[in-house]
Amino acid sequence: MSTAQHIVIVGGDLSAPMAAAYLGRYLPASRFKITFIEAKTLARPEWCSSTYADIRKFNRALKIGETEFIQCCGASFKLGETYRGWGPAPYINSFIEYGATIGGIGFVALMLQQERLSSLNALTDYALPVKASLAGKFLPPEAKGRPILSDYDYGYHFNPQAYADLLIEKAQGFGVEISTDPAIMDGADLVINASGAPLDDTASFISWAQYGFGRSYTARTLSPQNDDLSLTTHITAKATGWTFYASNQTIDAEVEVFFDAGKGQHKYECGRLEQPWLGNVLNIGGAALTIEPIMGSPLRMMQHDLERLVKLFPPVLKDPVERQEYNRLTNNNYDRLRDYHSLQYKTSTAKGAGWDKRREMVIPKTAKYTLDLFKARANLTPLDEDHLFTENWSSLFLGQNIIPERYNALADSVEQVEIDTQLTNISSIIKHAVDSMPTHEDFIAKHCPAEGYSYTKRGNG
Amino acid sequence: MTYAGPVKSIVIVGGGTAGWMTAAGLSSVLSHLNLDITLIESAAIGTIGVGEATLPHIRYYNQKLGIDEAELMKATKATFKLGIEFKDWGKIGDSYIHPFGNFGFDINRVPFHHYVTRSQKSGIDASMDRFSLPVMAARAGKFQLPHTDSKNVLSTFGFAYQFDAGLYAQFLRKFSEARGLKRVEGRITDVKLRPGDGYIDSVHLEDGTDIKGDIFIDCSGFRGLLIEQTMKIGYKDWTNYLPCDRAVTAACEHKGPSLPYTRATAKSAGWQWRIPLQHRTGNGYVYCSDYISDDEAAASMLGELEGEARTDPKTLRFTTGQRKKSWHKNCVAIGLSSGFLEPLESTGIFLIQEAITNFIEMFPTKNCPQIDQDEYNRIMDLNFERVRDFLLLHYVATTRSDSPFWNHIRNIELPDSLKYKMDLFRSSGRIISTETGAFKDPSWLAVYYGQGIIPNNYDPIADHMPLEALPKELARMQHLIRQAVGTMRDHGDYINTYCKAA
Repeated sequence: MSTAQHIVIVGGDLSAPMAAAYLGRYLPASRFKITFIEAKTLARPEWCSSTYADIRKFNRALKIGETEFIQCCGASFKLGETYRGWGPAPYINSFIEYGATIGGIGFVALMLQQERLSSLNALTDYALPVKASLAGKFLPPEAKGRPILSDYDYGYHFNPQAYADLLIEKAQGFGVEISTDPAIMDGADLVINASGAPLDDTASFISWAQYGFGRSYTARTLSPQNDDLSLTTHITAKATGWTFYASNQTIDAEVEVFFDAGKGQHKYECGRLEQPWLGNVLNIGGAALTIEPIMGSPLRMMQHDLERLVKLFPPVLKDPVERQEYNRLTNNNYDRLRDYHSLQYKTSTAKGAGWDKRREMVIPKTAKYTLDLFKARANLTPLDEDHLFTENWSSLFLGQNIIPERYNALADSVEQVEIDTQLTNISSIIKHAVDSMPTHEDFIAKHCPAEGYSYTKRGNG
Repeated sequence: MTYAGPVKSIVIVGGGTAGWMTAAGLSSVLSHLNLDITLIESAAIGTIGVGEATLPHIRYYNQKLGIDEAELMKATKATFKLGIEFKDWGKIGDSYIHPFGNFGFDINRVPFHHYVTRSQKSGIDASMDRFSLPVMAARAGKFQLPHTDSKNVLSTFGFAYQFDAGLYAQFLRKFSEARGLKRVEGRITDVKLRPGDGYIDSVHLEDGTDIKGDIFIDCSGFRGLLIEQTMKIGYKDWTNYLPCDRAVTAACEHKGPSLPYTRATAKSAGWQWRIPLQHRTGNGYVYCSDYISDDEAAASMLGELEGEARTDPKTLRFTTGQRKKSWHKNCVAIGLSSGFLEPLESTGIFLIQEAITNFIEMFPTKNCPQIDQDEYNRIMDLNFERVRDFLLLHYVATTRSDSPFWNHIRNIELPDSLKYKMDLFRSSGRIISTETGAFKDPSWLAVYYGQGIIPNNYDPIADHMPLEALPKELARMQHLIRQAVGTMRDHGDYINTYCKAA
């Protein structure tokens, strides 16, 4: 059709190839022509080297096979994140909550009722992915299967540049054209700015600097430094800030975050644009949002933005209503993300002046409400349209020593025998499952080793 | 620590549907707490008792309480409800059914209705009705319980009841009393507050007794004996949006077969309901007193009865709106005391149920911590506002100009929340999905399409399907539904074998 609307994607960070592939996949060619302007280098690749679990859904949508993806991107499996120095003891935040519901009652409430919740780590026996990561074992969840064994989820540590290359190849397969000429932006019906920064200085930015975030960072990649291939991203608190460490099959990535703007090689400021989509320019990824690499947030937001965009894609690009709705939902999502990240700082027990200041800071109202409600009664009702961290709030809080004062009154209704039986059951199922899993290193060696994979020296558990 | 000891005693003030639903819920779901629960009601205060229509959610409530469905339906002379027929709303002569179920099936992850819009734009004949099993079944007077296999098209609907709410309250009274609930007959003449914190200490009855409690649940109806007359919480008046302020009701004899749906017919100064029970039909004209007198309204209502009237017309007055807070200190308002929204979409019992479920979920300690109140009120506010917006949609999605009432309605200034939803739908058929609230996407679709709000455009991703393939796909779906409806049982027959009242 000659009336096809022209969409130009301006490259820069990982959101650009993601957009090219995802929009190419979903927008009918009869109505939209998509051109991708390639950037020479990928902005902040290390920040995207550790994913959340939902990336698997994104790959499935793009019809990228898992083995193809893993081998191409040197991906290793990720069961969660290890937080050291953030709470009284190291803890793991995985992609599911610890425990399981018993008699219709949430696990945290039950454990409080049982007076067995002295710390998050007291629940390790009831959390399969946590136990598996600690043992260095991995097996994907059963596809259609038994409770507990099919209930967990995983993400990846991977090479973002390789992923970018793979996505561009997919995008071309979906009919996206590649260009190096920025002039094609002129006259485009929609410019998707995925360059990692706003196109000009006029966009109004909302800073989150007061909510605890770091102000500069230094990033580096290294050859594998450890004998074991860790199943978790390591987020370690230090007196001056914290570090992120993620190992994929062939490369380790490290980001050191500093509270002091002068300490790291690159300055940054967390926050978001007031309006990600203004006129015919839609900012996604780092152009719309700067957020630190915990819980896979930078990459995860790129994915969510694209999924939301496709769900709401305006039939007529100049119509303002869908744009407004996109901004409303995106900003809600971003702000909820801000709440989570700021509570990571606010509730930490780490030592140092920088941390003391963060414990004292005033956090956003919605963040405070979530914290207060959990503290008072272990309640984690999502704020309506928000589902971003449903699985992670309780691990964050308990891991950082926020133990609720009360619990749901219904927890008292479950028979003690049932609780005892179920607890024994759950921990024994998990113990057996983990015992019989292969090591992470062996699983990869057997199923999906990338070129240069070297974690083979480890024995069979 | 703010822990102040467990709640030991609850006093429920008022014994209508709200009071007895609360009593039944607390005495069964919280039985392990061994609460001392007292319900105070006065036989002198009557109930409306013309029949009431419900939403499918009520089934979960009854299931949770362990109530046998057939037994309940027998006791309350209930019929099945697949939806509501709206007549004369978008314009005089219109009729559509808002069903309990989806329309069609998603194709390529694009919601079905976008294909209907696309068809209509391309001159292909397609109406939403034919893609809804409950609509087609309702029109054919058919019913049977949904199939248990979710892949079967006969599983693609939910249902509710049309029953005698007075009998439901009686049923729940027996249920509650069997679980140790204490019922006290009497009229409350005074409410005593605790000095210092202003919590309710006790209620004083006409016979001189004082009843103390840790928590008081106000189910006293419109007047809000505790929440308003004592606590002076105040009211959010929504009559600027929903101006109807009275209803006149009467029950009448049946005529014709028993229908598995409720009817709401728009009239010159409001609308009239028709709710078929097993033994009679409930009727009521909801109107705005600025545009019609009580006598005219009563005459108009009686003039449309399908059979001989069985009760004298009764007039009720109300102010649409919501109490500023439903839970304040140790007083929780449930039912009409917490707000009133006209029964256009049968939300009265739903809101009661939401309140009870939410209260149990947030069950407090004796001191009723502020955060428990806040969270409860936050969720109830969302529920009320969303029902309000959905009701208002029925009024404003109209071209009617045949009376001063409708001329007034057409000029109502909408709340931003509704205006925004309608703009988004008009533009490209998008619906804002929320977790909290009675009405999900299919309900909004039913009313939009049923009242002539058709999107200007459809989801562009629907164009992945070639236009030539669309008629065949739509015909396939319609056929599937028509065929399935053909195999369903007659509603009247089904009641006779499942739950015929004595």
